[in-house]
Amino acid sequence: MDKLYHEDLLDEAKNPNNFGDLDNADFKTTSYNASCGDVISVAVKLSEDKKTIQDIKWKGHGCIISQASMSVLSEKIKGLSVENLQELTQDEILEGLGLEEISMGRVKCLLLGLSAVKKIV
Amino acid sequence: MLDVKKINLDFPILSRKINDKDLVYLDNSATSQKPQIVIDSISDYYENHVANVHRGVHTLSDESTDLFENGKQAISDFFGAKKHELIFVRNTTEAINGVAYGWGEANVISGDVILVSVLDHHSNIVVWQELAKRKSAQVQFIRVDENGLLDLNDLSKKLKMFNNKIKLVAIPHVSNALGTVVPIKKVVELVKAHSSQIRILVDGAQSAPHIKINFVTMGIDFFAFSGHKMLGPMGIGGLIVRDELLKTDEMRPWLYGGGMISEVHESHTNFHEDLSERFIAGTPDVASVDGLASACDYLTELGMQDVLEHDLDLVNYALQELNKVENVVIVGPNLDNISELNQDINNPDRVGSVSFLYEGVHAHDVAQVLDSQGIAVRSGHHCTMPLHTSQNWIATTRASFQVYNSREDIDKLVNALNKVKEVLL
Repeated sequence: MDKLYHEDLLDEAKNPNNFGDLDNADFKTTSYNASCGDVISVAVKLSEDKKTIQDIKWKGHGCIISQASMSVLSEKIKGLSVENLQELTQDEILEGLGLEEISMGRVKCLLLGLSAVKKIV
Repeated sequence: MLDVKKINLDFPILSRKINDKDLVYLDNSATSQKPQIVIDSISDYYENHVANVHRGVHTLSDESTDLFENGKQAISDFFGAKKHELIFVRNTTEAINGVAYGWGEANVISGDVILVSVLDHHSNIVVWQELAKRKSAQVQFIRVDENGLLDLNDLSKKLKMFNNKIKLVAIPHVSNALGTVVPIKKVVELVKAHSSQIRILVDGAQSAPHIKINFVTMGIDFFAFSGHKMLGPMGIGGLIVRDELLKTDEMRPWLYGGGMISEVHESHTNFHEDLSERFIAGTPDVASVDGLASACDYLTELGMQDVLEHDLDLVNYALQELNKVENVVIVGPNLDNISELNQDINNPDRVGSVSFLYEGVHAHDVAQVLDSQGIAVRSGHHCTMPLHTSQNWIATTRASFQVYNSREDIDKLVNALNKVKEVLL
Protein backbone atom coordinates (compact mmCIF):
# COMPACT_ATOMS: atom_id res chain seq x y z
CA MET A 1 0.00 0.00 0.00
CA ASP A 2 2.80 2.39 0.95
CA LYS A 3 4.34 1.50 -2.42
CA LEU A 4 1.35 3.01 -4.22
CA TYR A 5 0.62 5.99 -1.98
CA HIS A 6 4.24 7.02 -1.47
CA GLU A 7 5.15 10.42 -0.01
CA ASP A 8 6.00 12.14 -3.31
CA LEU A 9 2.80 11.00 -4.96
CA LEU A 10 0.63 12.26 -2.08
CA ASP A 11 2.50 15.55 -2.24
CA GLU A 12 2.03 15.78 -6.01
CA ALA A 13 -1.75 15.39 -5.57
CA LYS A 14 -1.99 17.83 -2.67
CA ASN A 15 0.17 20.51 -4.32
CA PRO A 16 -0.36 19.92 -8.02
CA ASN A 17 1.68 21.70 -10.68
CA ASN A 18 -0.02 24.04 -13.15
CA PHE A 19 -3.38 23.97 -11.38
CA GLY A 20 -5.65 26.78 -12.55
CA ASP A 21 -7.02 28.35 -15.73
CA LEU A 22 -5.63 30.25 -18.71
CA ASP A 23 -7.37 33.41 -19.93
CA ASN A 24 -5.78 33.34 -23.36
CA ALA A 25 -6.07 29.62 -24.03
CA ASP A 26 -5.99 28.41 -27.64
CA PHE A 27 -7.60 25.14 -26.69
CA LYS A 28 -9.75 23.85 -23.85
CA THR A 29 -10.85 20.30 -23.26
CA THR A 30 -12.44 18.20 -20.55
CA SER A 31 -12.44 14.49 -19.76
CA TYR A 32 -14.74 12.60 -17.43
CA ASN A 33 -14.31 9.26 -15.75
CA ALA A 34 -17.78 7.84 -16.19
CA SER A 35 -17.31 5.22 -13.49
CA CYS A 36 -16.62 7.62 -10.64
CA GLY A 37 -17.51 11.16 -11.74
CA ASP A 38 -13.93 12.46 -11.77
CA VAL A 39 -13.29 15.42 -14.06
CA ILE A 40 -10.19 17.06 -15.52
CA SER A 41 -10.29 20.21 -17.66
CA VAL A 42 -7.20 21.33 -19.52
CA ALA A 43 -6.45 24.77 -21.01
CA VAL A 44 -3.53 25.16 -23.39
CA LYS A 45 -1.66 28.11 -24.92
CA LEU A 46 0.17 27.21 -28.11
CA SER A 47 3.28 28.81 -29.62
CA GLU A 48 2.87 31.27 -32.47
CA ASP A 49 3.32 28.61 -35.12
CA LYS A 50 0.73 26.49 -33.22
CA LYS A 51 3.12 23.57 -33.13
CA THR A 52 4.27 23.61 -29.51
CA ILE A 53 2.57 23.65 -26.11
CA GLN A 54 3.70 26.95 -24.63
CA ASP A 55 1.65 26.89 -21.44
CA ILE A 56 -0.85 24.60 -19.77
CA LYS A 57 -3.17 24.92 -16.81
CA TRP A 58 -5.66 22.37 -15.59
CA LYS A 59 -8.28 21.94 -12.93
CA GLY A 60 -10.59 19.21 -11.77
CA HIS A 61 -11.45 16.92 -8.95
CA GLY A 62 -10.86 13.26 -8.32
CA CYS A 63 -8.78 10.68 -6.55
CA ILE A 64 -5.10 10.96 -5.68
CA ILE A 65 -4.05 8.94 -8.73
CA SER A 66 -5.95 11.06 -11.28
CA GLN A 67 -4.81 14.36 -9.75
CA ALA A 68 -1.16 13.40 -9.28
CA SER A 69 -0.89 11.95 -12.78
CA MET A 70 -2.34 15.10 -14.35
CA SER A 71 0.11 17.19 -12.34
CA VAL A 72 3.06 15.13 -13.60
CA LEU A 73 1.67 15.16 -17.13
CA SER A 74 1.26 18.95 -17.18
CA GLU A 75 4.96 19.39 -16.39
CA LYS A 76 5.90 16.84 -19.03
CA ILE A 77 4.03 18.44 -21.91
CA LYS A 78 5.08 22.04 -21.39
CA GLY A 79 7.29 22.81 -24.38
CA LEU A 80 6.38 19.56 -26.10
CA SER A 81 5.31 19.61 -29.75
CA VAL A 82 1.60 19.00 -30.35
CA GLU A 83 2.54 16.15 -32.65
CA ASN A 84 4.34 14.32 -29.85
CA LEU A 85 1.35 14.53 -27.51
CA GLN A 86 -0.26 11.53 -29.17
CA GLU A 87 2.78 9.40 -28.43
CA LEU A 88 2.63 9.82 -24.66
CA THR A 89 2.12 6.45 -22.95
CA GLN A 90 0.81 4.99 -19.72
CA ASP A 91 4.34 3.87 -18.82
CA GLU A 92 5.70 7.41 -19.06
CA ILE A 93 3.06 8.63 -16.60
CA LEU A 94 3.76 5.73 -14.25
CA GLU A 95 7.44 6.55 -14.40
CA GLY A 96 6.72 10.20 -13.70
CA LEU A 97 4.74 9.16 -10.63
CA GLY A 98 7.51 6.85 -9.43
CA LEU A 99 5.29 3.78 -9.81
CA GLU A 100 6.17 0.47 -11.40
CA GLU A 101 2.64 -0.70 -12.00
CA ILE A 102 -1.01 0.07 -11.35
CA SER A 103 -3.97 -2.27 -10.85
CA MET A 104 -6.54 -2.64 -13.65
CA GLY A 105 -9.14 -0.85 -11.57
CA ARG A 106 -7.03 2.30 -11.39
CA VAL A 107 -5.85 2.56 -15.01
CA LYS A 108 -8.76 4.89 -15.85
CA CYS A 109 -7.77 7.18 -12.97
CA LEU A 110 -4.18 7.19 -14.20
CA LEU A 111 -5.14 8.00 -17.79
CA LEU A 112 -7.92 10.55 -17.21
CA GLY A 113 -5.59 13.52 -17.70
CA LEU A 114 -3.89 11.95 -20.68
CA SER A 115 -7.23 11.39 -22.40
CA ALA A 116 -7.97 15.12 -22.02
CA VAL A 117 -4.53 16.10 -23.27
CA LYS A 118 -4.75 13.86 -26.31
CA LYS A 119 -7.80 15.77 -27.51
CA ILE A 120 -5.56 18.77 -28.15
CA VAL A 121 -4.98 18.95 -31.88
CA MET B 1 -31.34 -15.65 13.57
CA LEU B 2 -28.96 -16.76 10.85
CA ASP B 3 -26.04 -19.00 11.74
CA VAL B 4 -23.45 -16.91 9.89
CA LYS B 5 -20.49 -19.18 10.69
CA LYS B 6 -22.31 -22.15 9.19
CA ILE B 7 -23.45 -20.09 6.17
CA ASN B 8 -19.84 -19.05 5.49
CA LEU B 9 -18.91 -22.69 4.95
CA ASP B 10 -21.40 -22.85 2.06
CA PHE B 11 -19.46 -20.21 0.08
CA PRO B 12 -16.11 -21.56 -1.13
CA ILE B 13 -14.78 -18.15 -2.21
CA LEU B 14 -15.00 -16.79 1.33
CA SER B 15 -12.02 -18.87 2.37
CA ARG B 16 -9.79 -16.94 -0.05
CA LYS B 17 -7.02 -14.64 1.09
CA ILE B 18 -6.77 -11.17 -0.44
CA ASN B 19 -3.46 -9.37 0.01
CA ASP B 20 -2.57 -12.01 2.63
CA LYS B 21 -5.65 -11.10 4.66
CA ASP B 22 -8.94 -12.97 5.10
CA LEU B 23 -11.40 -11.74 2.47
CA VAL B 24 -14.13 -9.49 3.86
CA TYR B 25 -16.58 -9.17 0.98
CA LEU B 26 -18.74 -6.06 1.39
CA ASP B 27 -19.58 -5.38 -2.25
CA ASN B 28 -22.78 -7.39 -2.35
CA SER B 29 -24.94 -4.68 -3.93
CA ALA B 30 -22.70 -5.01 -6.99
CA THR B 31 -22.86 -8.79 -6.98
CA SER B 32 -23.14 -11.52 -4.37
CA GLN B 33 -21.00 -14.62 -3.96
CA LYS B 34 -22.46 -18.04 -4.80
CA PRO B 35 -23.08 -20.95 -2.43
CA GLN B 36 -21.84 -24.44 -3.31
CA ILE B 37 -25.41 -25.58 -4.04
CA VAL B 38 -25.66 -23.05 -6.90
CA ILE B 39 -22.23 -23.96 -8.28
CA ASP B 40 -23.17 -27.65 -8.09
CA SER B 41 -26.45 -27.10 -9.95
CA ILE B 42 -24.61 -25.52 -12.85
CA SER B 43 -21.88 -28.20 -12.93
CA ASP B 44 -24.44 -30.97 -12.66
CA TYR B 45 -26.37 -29.58 -15.60
CA TYR B 46 -23.29 -29.45 -17.82
CA GLU B 47 -21.97 -32.81 -16.60
CA ASN B 48 -25.20 -34.78 -16.81
CA HIS B 49 -28.23 -33.16 -18.44
CA VAL B 50 -27.33 -30.98 -21.44
CA ALA B 51 -29.86 -30.99 -24.27
CA ASN B 52 -32.03 -28.35 -25.85
CA VAL B 53 -35.38 -27.76 -24.20
CA HIS B 54 -38.84 -28.28 -25.69
CA ARG B 55 -37.32 -29.63 -28.88
CA GLY B 56 -36.30 -33.29 -28.64
CA VAL B 57 -38.05 -36.48 -27.64
CA HIS B 58 -34.98 -38.15 -26.20
CA THR B 59 -34.30 -38.64 -22.49
CA LEU B 60 -31.75 -35.84 -22.08
CA SER B 61 -34.08 -33.36 -23.72
CA ASP B 62 -36.79 -34.40 -21.26
CA GLU B 63 -34.45 -33.98 -18.30
CA SER B 64 -33.29 -30.58 -19.50
CA THR B 65 -36.88 -29.45 -20.12
CA ASP B 66 -37.86 -30.65 -16.63
CA LEU B 67 -35.00 -28.74 -15.03
CA PHE B 68 -35.95 -25.61 -16.95
CA GLU B 69 -39.68 -25.81 -16.22
CA ASN B 70 -39.25 -26.76 -12.56
CA GLY B 71 -36.66 -24.01 -12.18
CA LYS B 72 -39.04 -21.48 -13.68
CA GLN B 73 -41.81 -22.62 -11.35
CA ALA B 74 -39.53 -22.38 -8.29
CA ILE B 75 -38.31 -18.89 -9.22
CA SER B 76 -41.80 -17.53 -9.93
CA ASP B 77 -43.00 -19.07 -6.62
CA PHE B 78 -40.13 -17.32 -4.83
CA PHE B 79 -41.41 -13.97 -6.13
CA GLY B 80 -45.08 -14.73 -5.53
CA ALA B 81 -45.77 -14.57 -9.26
CA LYS B 82 -47.60 -16.87 -11.65
CA LYS B 83 -45.26 -18.97 -13.75
CA HIS B 84 -46.30 -17.36 -17.01
CA GLU B 85 -45.73 -13.87 -15.56
CA LEU B 86 -41.97 -14.54 -15.34
CA ILE B 87 -39.86 -13.71 -18.39
CA PHE B 88 -36.19 -14.68 -18.21
CA VAL B 89 -33.64 -12.04 -19.12
CA ARG B 90 -29.94 -11.64 -18.39
CA ASN B 91 -30.26 -9.01 -15.65
CA THR B 92 -32.31 -6.09 -14.33
CA THR B 93 -31.07 -3.75 -17.04
CA GLU B 94 -32.24 -6.11 -19.76
CA ALA B 95 -35.60 -6.47 -17.98
CA ILE B 96 -36.12 -2.71 -17.99
CA ASN B 97 -35.10 -2.54 -21.65
CA GLY B 98 -37.66 -5.29 -22.26
CA VAL B 99 -40.41 -3.09 -20.83
CA ALA B 100 -39.27 -0.21 -23.04
CA TYR B 101 -39.36 -2.34 -26.20
CA GLY B 102 -42.18 -4.78 -25.39
CA TRP B 103 -44.50 -2.22 -23.79
CA GLY B 104 -43.14 1.31 -24.27
CA GLU B 105 -42.80 1.22 -28.05
CA ALA B 106 -46.53 0.61 -28.52
CA ASN B 107 -47.90 2.54 -25.53
CA VAL B 108 -45.87 5.71 -25.13
CA ILE B 109 -46.64 8.48 -27.59
CA SER B 110 -45.56 12.04 -28.28
CA GLY B 111 -46.07 14.37 -25.31
CA ASP B 112 -46.29 11.54 -22.74
CA VAL B 113 -44.40 11.66 -19.44
CA ILE B 114 -42.37 8.90 -17.82
CA LEU B 115 -41.81 9.53 -14.11
CA VAL B 116 -38.58 8.19 -12.67
CA SER B 117 -36.85 9.12 -9.41
CA VAL B 118 -33.53 10.73 -8.51
CA LEU B 119 -32.82 7.52 -6.58
CA ASP B 120 -32.89 5.40 -9.72
CA HIS B 121 -29.94 3.46 -11.09
CA HIS B 122 -28.82 4.63 -14.56
CA SER B 123 -30.50 1.55 -16.02
CA ASN B 124 -33.90 2.86 -14.92
CA ILE B 125 -33.15 6.34 -16.29
CA VAL B 126 -31.20 5.99 -19.54
CA VAL B 127 -33.63 3.41 -20.98
CA TRP B 128 -36.48 5.90 -20.51
CA GLN B 129 -34.51 8.87 -21.82
CA GLU B 130 -33.86 6.89 -24.99
CA LEU B 131 -37.51 5.83 -25.35
CA ALA B 132 -38.55 9.45 -24.74
CA LYS B 133 -36.21 10.53 -27.53
CA ARG B 134 -37.72 8.01 -29.95
CA LYS B 135 -41.28 9.00 -29.02
CA SER B 136 -40.89 12.76 -28.39
CA ALA B 137 -42.00 12.04 -24.84
CA GLN B 138 -40.32 13.38 -21.69
CA VAL B 139 -38.73 12.01 -18.53
CA GLN B 140 -39.45 13.75 -15.23
CA PHE B 141 -37.79 13.08 -11.87
CA ILE B 142 -39.39 12.56 -8.46
CA ARG B 143 -37.09 14.28 -5.94
CA VAL B 144 -35.63 12.85 -2.74
CA ASP B 145 -35.69 14.63 0.62
CA GLU B 146 -32.63 15.63 2.68
CA ASN B 147 -32.48 12.17 4.30
CA GLY B 148 -32.41 10.36 0.99
CA LEU B 149 -36.04 9.20 1.15
CA LEU B 150 -38.32 9.44 -1.86
CA ASP B 151 -40.33 12.66 -1.58
CA LEU B 152 -43.94 11.45 -1.76
CA ASN B 153 -45.22 15.03 -1.76
CA ASP B 154 -43.21 15.64 -4.89
CA LEU B 155 -44.72 12.50 -6.42
CA SER B 156 -48.23 13.84 -5.68
CA LYS B 157 -47.25 17.21 -7.12
CA LYS B 158 -45.90 15.66 -10.33
CA LEU B 159 -48.96 13.41 -10.69
CA LYS B 160 -51.14 16.53 -10.65
CA MET B 161 -48.77 18.59 -12.77
CA PHE B 162 -48.48 16.09 -15.64
CA ASN B 163 -51.87 14.51 -15.02
CA ASN B 164 -53.05 12.28 -17.86
CA LYS B 165 -49.77 12.59 -19.75
CA ILE B 166 -48.08 10.16 -17.35
CA LYS B 167 -47.83 6.66 -18.78
CA LEU B 168 -45.28 5.02 -16.49
CA VAL B 169 -43.81 5.45 -13.02
CA ALA B 170 -40.41 3.70 -12.81
CA ILE B 171 -38.87 3.51 -9.34
CA PRO B 172 -36.40 1.39 -7.39
CA HIS B 173 -37.59 -0.75 -4.49
CA VAL B 174 -34.29 -0.20 -2.68
CA SER B 175 -31.73 2.42 -3.74
CA ASN B 176 -28.42 0.81 -4.69
CA ALA B 177 -26.55 3.94 -3.62
CA LEU B 178 -28.25 4.78 -0.32
CA GLY B 179 -30.10 1.63 0.70
CA THR B 180 -33.26 3.75 0.95
CA VAL B 181 -36.42 1.64 0.84
CA VAL B 182 -39.12 3.16 -1.35
CA PRO B 183 -42.58 2.59 0.22
CA ILE B 184 -44.03 0.79 -2.79
CA LYS B 185 -47.44 0.37 -1.20
CA LYS B 186 -47.82 4.13 -0.68
CA VAL B 187 -46.52 4.88 -4.18
CA VAL B 188 -49.01 2.42 -5.69
CA GLU B 189 -51.86 3.97 -3.68
CA LEU B 190 -50.96 7.49 -4.79
CA VAL B 191 -50.52 6.51 -8.44
CA LYS B 192 -53.62 4.31 -8.67
CA ALA B 193 -55.74 6.93 -6.86
CA HIS B 194 -54.69 9.32 -9.59
CA SER B 195 -55.27 6.99 -12.53
CA SER B 196 -55.58 3.26 -13.02
CA GLN B 197 -54.05 3.67 -16.49
CA ILE B 198 -50.56 4.54 -15.26
CA ARG B 199 -48.21 1.54 -15.28
CA ILE B 200 -45.74 1.02 -12.45
CA LEU B 201 -42.32 -0.57 -12.85
CA VAL B 202 -40.26 -1.50 -9.81
CA ASP B 203 -36.52 -2.10 -10.11
CA GLY B 204 -36.07 -4.87 -7.58
CA ALA B 205 -32.36 -5.52 -8.11
CA GLN B 206 -31.49 -4.47 -4.55
CA SER B 207 -34.63 -5.65 -2.77
CA ALA B 208 -34.91 -9.20 -4.12
CA PRO B 209 -31.80 -10.38 -2.18
CA HIS B 210 -33.16 -9.16 1.19
CA ILE B 211 -36.93 -8.63 1.15
CA LYS B 212 -39.64 -11.24 0.55
CA ILE B 213 -41.34 -10.19 -2.68
CA ASN B 214 -44.98 -10.95 -3.34
CA PHE B 215 -45.57 -9.69 -6.85
CA VAL B 216 -49.32 -10.28 -6.90
CA THR B 217 -50.03 -8.31 -3.72
CA MET B 218 -47.62 -5.47 -4.62
CA GLY B 219 -50.16 -4.16 -7.12
CA ILE B 220 -47.54 -3.18 -9.66
CA ASP B 221 -47.24 -3.98 -13.36
CA PHE B 222 -43.55 -4.80 -13.82
CA PHE B 223 -40.87 -6.10 -11.45
CA ALA B 224 -37.26 -6.46 -12.59
CA PHE B 225 -34.50 -8.38 -10.80
CA SER B 226 -31.03 -9.88 -11.26
CA GLY B 227 -30.15 -13.42 -10.16
CA HIS B 228 -26.51 -12.63 -9.46
CA LYS B 229 -27.27 -10.21 -6.63
CA MET B 230 -29.31 -12.86 -4.80
CA LEU B 231 -26.70 -15.64 -4.65
CA GLY B 232 -27.53 -16.90 -8.16
CA PRO B 233 -25.38 -17.06 -11.29
CA MET B 234 -24.47 -14.06 -13.43
CA GLY B 235 -26.37 -13.79 -16.70
CA ILE B 236 -29.85 -14.71 -15.48
CA GLY B 237 -32.55 -12.43 -14.16
CA GLY B 238 -36.24 -11.84 -14.56
CA LEU B 239 -38.92 -9.47 -15.68
CA ILE B 240 -42.25 -10.21 -14.00
CA VAL B 241 -45.22 -8.79 -15.87
CA ARG B 242 -48.80 -8.64 -14.53
CA ASP B 243 -50.68 -11.29 -16.49
CA GLU B 244 -53.46 -9.00 -17.65
CA LEU B 245 -50.88 -7.01 -19.64
CA LEU B 246 -49.77 -10.23 -21.30
CA LYS B 247 -53.29 -11.48 -21.99
CA THR B 248 -54.44 -8.21 -23.55
CA ASP B 249 -51.25 -7.97 -25.62
CA GLU B 250 -50.41 -4.63 -23.99
CA MET B 251 -47.00 -6.22 -23.32
CA ARG B 252 -45.68 -7.93 -26.44
CA PRO B 253 -42.57 -9.96 -27.21
CA TRP B 254 -39.58 -7.82 -28.11
CA LEU B 255 -37.34 -10.63 -29.29
CA TYR B 256 -38.52 -12.83 -32.12
CA GLY B 257 -37.44 -16.18 -33.51
CA GLY B 258 -37.74 -19.87 -32.74
CA GLY B 259 -39.40 -21.19 -29.61
CA MET B 260 -41.77 -18.27 -29.15
CA ILE B 261 -44.00 -19.09 -32.13
CA SER B 262 -46.95 -21.39 -32.75
CA GLU B 263 -47.09 -21.19 -36.56
CA VAL B 264 -44.85 -19.55 -39.12
CA HIS B 265 -46.10 -18.98 -42.68
CA GLU B 266 -44.45 -17.18 -45.55
CA SER B 267 -46.97 -14.38 -45.12
CA HIS B 268 -47.21 -14.14 -41.33
CA THR B 269 -46.46 -15.69 -37.93
CA ASN B 270 -48.65 -16.50 -34.95
CA PHE B 271 -46.94 -16.28 -31.57
CA HIS B 272 -47.06 -19.04 -28.99
CA GLU B 273 -50.42 -19.15 -27.22
CA ASP B 274 -48.74 -20.20 -24.00
CA LEU B 275 -47.78 -16.79 -22.56
CA SER B 276 -44.87 -18.40 -20.79
CA GLU B 277 -43.37 -19.59 -24.09
CA ARG B 278 -44.07 -16.43 -26.05
CA PHE B 279 -41.16 -14.58 -24.52
CA ILE B 280 -38.53 -17.27 -24.96
CA ALA B 281 -36.89 -16.52 -28.29
CA GLY B 282 -34.05 -18.93 -28.92
CA THR B 283 -32.42 -21.45 -26.62
CA PRO B 284 -32.66 -20.35 -22.97
CA ASP B 285 -29.85 -20.55 -20.40
CA VAL B 286 -31.05 -23.71 -18.67
CA ALA B 287 -28.03 -24.11 -16.36
CA SER B 288 -28.43 -20.57 -15.05
CA VAL B 289 -32.18 -21.03 -14.53
CA ASP B 290 -31.40 -24.15 -12.52
CA GLY B 291 -28.67 -22.28 -10.62
CA LEU B 292 -31.01 -19.41 -9.80
CA ALA B 293 -33.70 -21.84 -8.67
CA SER B 294 -31.13 -23.33 -6.29
CA ALA B 295 -30.33 -19.84 -4.96
CA CYS B 296 -34.06 -19.28 -4.34
CA ASP B 297 -34.21 -22.64 -2.51
CA TYR B 298 -31.19 -21.66 -0.44
CA LEU B 299 -32.72 -18.32 0.59
CA THR B 300 -36.08 -19.94 1.31
CA GLU B 301 -34.34 -22.52 3.46
CA LEU B 302 -32.70 -19.71 5.46
CA GLY B 303 -36.07 -17.94 5.62
CA MET B 304 -36.52 -14.53 4.02
CA GLN B 305 -37.77 -13.05 7.30
CA ASP B 306 -34.49 -14.07 9.00
CA VAL B 307 -32.51 -12.89 5.96
CA LEU B 308 -34.05 -9.42 6.27
CA GLU B 309 -33.69 -9.32 10.05
CA HIS B 310 -30.01 -10.19 9.67
CA ASP B 311 -29.50 -7.49 7.08
CA LEU B 312 -31.23 -4.81 9.18
CA ASP B 313 -29.02 -5.75 12.13
CA LEU B 314 -25.91 -5.30 9.97
CA VAL B 315 -27.13 -2.00 8.51
CA ASN B 316 -27.92 -0.56 11.94
CA TYR B 317 -24.67 -1.84 13.45
CA ALA B 318 -22.68 -0.40 10.54
CA LEU B 319 -24.39 2.98 10.93
CA GLN B 320 -23.75 2.96 14.68
CA GLU B 321 -20.05 2.10 14.29
CA LEU B 322 -19.29 4.19 11.20
CA ASN B 323 -20.87 7.25 12.80
CA LYS B 324 -18.04 7.06 15.35
CA VAL B 325 -15.22 7.04 12.79
CA GLU B 326 -13.39 10.33 12.38
CA ASN B 327 -13.84 11.93 8.91
CA VAL B 328 -16.64 9.54 7.93
CA VAL B 329 -19.96 11.12 6.96
CA ILE B 330 -22.85 8.71 6.32
CA VAL B 331 -25.12 9.52 3.39
CA GLY B 332 -28.80 8.59 3.25
CA PRO B 333 -31.06 7.37 6.06
CA ASN B 334 -29.13 7.36 9.34
CA LEU B 335 -29.81 6.68 13.02
CA ASP B 336 -29.91 10.38 13.82
CA ASN B 337 -32.20 11.49 11.00
CA ILE B 338 -34.81 8.71 11.00
CA SER B 339 -36.35 7.84 14.35
CA GLU B 340 -36.35 4.11 15.12
CA LEU B 341 -34.56 3.34 11.87
CA ASN B 342 -35.24 -0.24 10.74
CA GLN B 343 -37.11 -1.15 13.94
CA ASP B 344 -40.24 -2.25 12.07
CA ILE B 345 -39.28 -5.28 10.02
CA ASN B 346 -42.43 -4.86 7.93
CA ASN B 347 -41.48 -1.31 7.01
CA PRO B 348 -37.69 -1.09 6.89
CA ASP B 349 -36.09 2.26 5.99
CA ARG B 350 -32.61 1.26 4.84
CA VAL B 351 -31.68 -2.15 3.46
CA GLY B 352 -28.56 -3.80 2.14
CA SER B 353 -25.90 -1.13 2.31
CA VAL B 354 -24.30 1.83 4.05
CA SER B 355 -22.57 4.51 1.98
CA PHE B 356 -20.36 7.28 3.22
CA LEU B 357 -18.03 10.10 2.36
CA TYR B 358 -14.55 10.20 3.85
CA GLU B 359 -13.72 13.87 4.25
CA GLY B 360 -10.56 14.88 2.44
CA VAL B 361 -10.07 11.57 0.65
CA HIS B 362 -11.61 10.41 -2.63
CA ALA B 363 -13.69 7.22 -2.46
CA HIS B 364 -11.36 5.35 -4.85
CA ASP B 365 -8.43 5.99 -2.56
CA VAL B 366 -10.47 4.84 0.45
CA ALA B 367 -11.41 1.64 -1.40
CA GLN B 368 -7.80 1.05 -2.42
CA VAL B 369 -6.58 1.24 1.19
CA LEU B 370 -9.44 -1.03 2.33
CA ASP B 371 -8.48 -3.56 -0.36
CA SER B 372 -4.96 -3.70 1.07
CA GLN B 373 -6.65 -4.96 4.24
CA GLY B 374 -8.62 -7.64 2.35
CA ILE B 375 -11.86 -5.64 2.41
CA ALA B 376 -13.87 -5.33 -0.81
CA VAL B 377 -16.17 -2.30 -1.06
CA ARG B 378 -17.51 -0.26 -3.94
CA SER B 379 -16.42 3.30 -4.62
CA GLY B 380 -17.67 5.79 -7.15
CA HIS B 381 -21.14 7.05 -8.03
CA HIS B 382 -22.66 3.55 -8.17
CA CYS B 383 -24.42 4.27 -11.47
CA THR B 384 -26.46 7.02 -9.81
CA MET B 385 -24.96 10.19 -11.22
CA PRO B 386 -28.19 12.24 -10.98
CA LEU B 387 -28.40 11.42 -7.25
CA HIS B 388 -24.73 12.23 -6.65
CA THR B 389 -24.96 15.45 -8.68
CA SER B 390 -28.12 16.57 -6.86
CA GLN B 391 -26.37 16.12 -3.50
CA ASN B 392 -22.99 17.48 -4.67
CA TRP B 393 -21.19 14.25 -3.87
CA ILE B 394 -18.29 13.45 -6.21
CA ALA B 395 -18.09 9.82 -5.18
CA THR B 396 -19.06 7.71 -2.19
CA THR B 397 -17.80 4.48 -0.62
CA ARG B 398 -20.36 1.73 -0.09
CA ALA B 399 -20.29 -1.31 2.18
CA SER B 400 -23.07 -3.72 1.29
CA PHE B 401 -24.15 -6.92 2.97
CA GLN B 402 -25.29 -10.48 2.42
CA VAL B 403 -26.27 -13.46 4.55
CA TYR B 404 -22.61 -14.45 5.09
CA ASN B 405 -21.53 -11.09 6.54
CA SER B 406 -21.25 -10.55 10.28
CA ARG B 407 -20.82 -7.70 12.76
CA GLU B 408 -17.18 -8.79 12.89
CA ASP B 409 -16.81 -7.84 9.20
CA ILE B 410 -18.03 -4.34 10.05
CA ASP B 411 -15.52 -4.14 12.92
CA LYS B 412 -12.79 -5.02 10.41
CA LEU B 413 -14.09 -2.30 8.06
CA VAL B 414 -13.97 0.27 10.84
CA ASN B 415 -10.41 -0.77 11.79
CA ALA B 416 -9.30 -0.54 8.17
CA LEU B 417 -10.88 2.92 7.83
CA ASN B 418 -8.62 4.12 10.60
CA LYS B 419 -5.73 3.04 8.40
CA VAL B 420 -6.93 5.43 5.66
CA LYS B 421 -5.93 8.38 7.79
CA GLU B 422 -2.56 6.82 8.51
CA VAL B 423 -1.76 6.28 4.83
CA LEU B 424 -3.35 9.27 3.14
CA LEU B 425 -3.81 12.19 5.54
